[in-house]
Amino acid sequence: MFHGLYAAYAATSLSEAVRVSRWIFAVFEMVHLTGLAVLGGAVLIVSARLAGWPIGGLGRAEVWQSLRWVALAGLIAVAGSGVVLVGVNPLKYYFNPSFNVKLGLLLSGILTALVVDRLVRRDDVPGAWWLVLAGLLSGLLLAVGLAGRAIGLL
Amino acid sequence: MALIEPLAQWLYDTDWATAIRESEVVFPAIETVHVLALALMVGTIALVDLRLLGAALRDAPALDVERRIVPVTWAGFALMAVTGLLLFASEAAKIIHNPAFIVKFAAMVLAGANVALFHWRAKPLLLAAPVGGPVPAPAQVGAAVSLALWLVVIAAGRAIAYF
Amino acid sequence: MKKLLVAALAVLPLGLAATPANAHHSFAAEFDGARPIRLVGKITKVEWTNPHSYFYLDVADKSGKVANWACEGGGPGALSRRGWKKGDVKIGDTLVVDGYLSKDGTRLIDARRIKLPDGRFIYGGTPGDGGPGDGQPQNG
Repeated sequence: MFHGLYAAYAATSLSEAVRVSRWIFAVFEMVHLTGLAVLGGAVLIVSARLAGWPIGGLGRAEVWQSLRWVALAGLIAVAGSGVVLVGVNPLKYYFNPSFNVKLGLLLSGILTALVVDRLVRRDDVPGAWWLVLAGLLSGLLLAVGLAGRAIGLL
Repeated sequence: MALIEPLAQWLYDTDWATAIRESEVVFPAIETVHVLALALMVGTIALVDLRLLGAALRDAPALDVERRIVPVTWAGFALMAVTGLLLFASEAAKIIHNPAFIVKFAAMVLAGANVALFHWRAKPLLLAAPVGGPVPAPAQVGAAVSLALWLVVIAAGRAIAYF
Repeated sequence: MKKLLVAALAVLPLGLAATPANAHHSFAAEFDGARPIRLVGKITKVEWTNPHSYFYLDVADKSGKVANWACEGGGPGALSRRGWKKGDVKIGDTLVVDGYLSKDGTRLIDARRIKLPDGRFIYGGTPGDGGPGDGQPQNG
């Protein structure tokens, strides 16, 4: 289903530019890493607060409201740079199991974040659910990182 | 350079550095922790810096944010430092000539100096400032410098592979 | 509320199911995919190292002049998974290496396909670098 999408991308001039350039891939790797740090840091602190770790007297909703835009900025950085990086050889990524697992995990993480967003203003959510959601949010993101490393190692 | 080269060569030739360099799993594992712990160290200090600059967690006192998060940053730093030292040792003789590594190391030294300067100059002002009031300028400058330097460290660290 | 949460978490595995059936860097930044070369020579040095392995060969050109070339391959983990162990080659062995020339003109190639002294062919590339042969079934 997605093969056509990746194949079409491979035929674009952007893809060729990334493939041929001596610097484009490297620069966008740096953006990818910076986005990883920002997204990871935000998710870590948010998860800790959701799980009950106190910070500055703020409630769960307040920490979420404030840090979700930081996390979003990080997500845009990793996703945007990720699209460019895939351009170096789109079909290779299409067939790469580590890359596909990575995308699936990222999607799951985003879905978890949307669930948190729906529930965070309510006061009838049991504490145990927050522990689960916090664990999922940070655990899935860690797994995304590991899957990403697997692309270049396995 | 004259002092550093024999030291780097000695480190490079040790049994444990050689084992890491020629390993099948250990080097990739150490490198993985080093890259992912970025979130723990740079990601968390970025949040503190953003608070000091008034860009995030504005409803919490800046001092509280700094106090709560910085210990996490130090834990991240411990991971980065240990894995970084192991990686450095495994490539020591070669990497000291790598311009990207030199830039990375210089930026880290400057970042460390910035931390020291923050604690010496900016923190006392922050402690004395009224809760909920504006963040003293030296603290804001320190935060901005911190963000810029860690950005350079990340970019230079990635660039090592290209030189 | 609980119904919403259960429904939401049930959606989570969909994220994983929706998947279609690298410390790396790009091949293209350093090597020229349009300039393939075959090197045949005796090994003078082996660096069985992370993040890349290096094999140095004395290669004679058409006029008989011998020059030392470096061939860059994947790290020990990647090579080992393809069946190539550290002791499989030694100084003096002859290797046939198919690869691509370095963009900066130095005597360095990115080794994509290596013929070992025992006749085996090994894929030499670094996993995930986007170079020719990356992502395809290896060894052949």
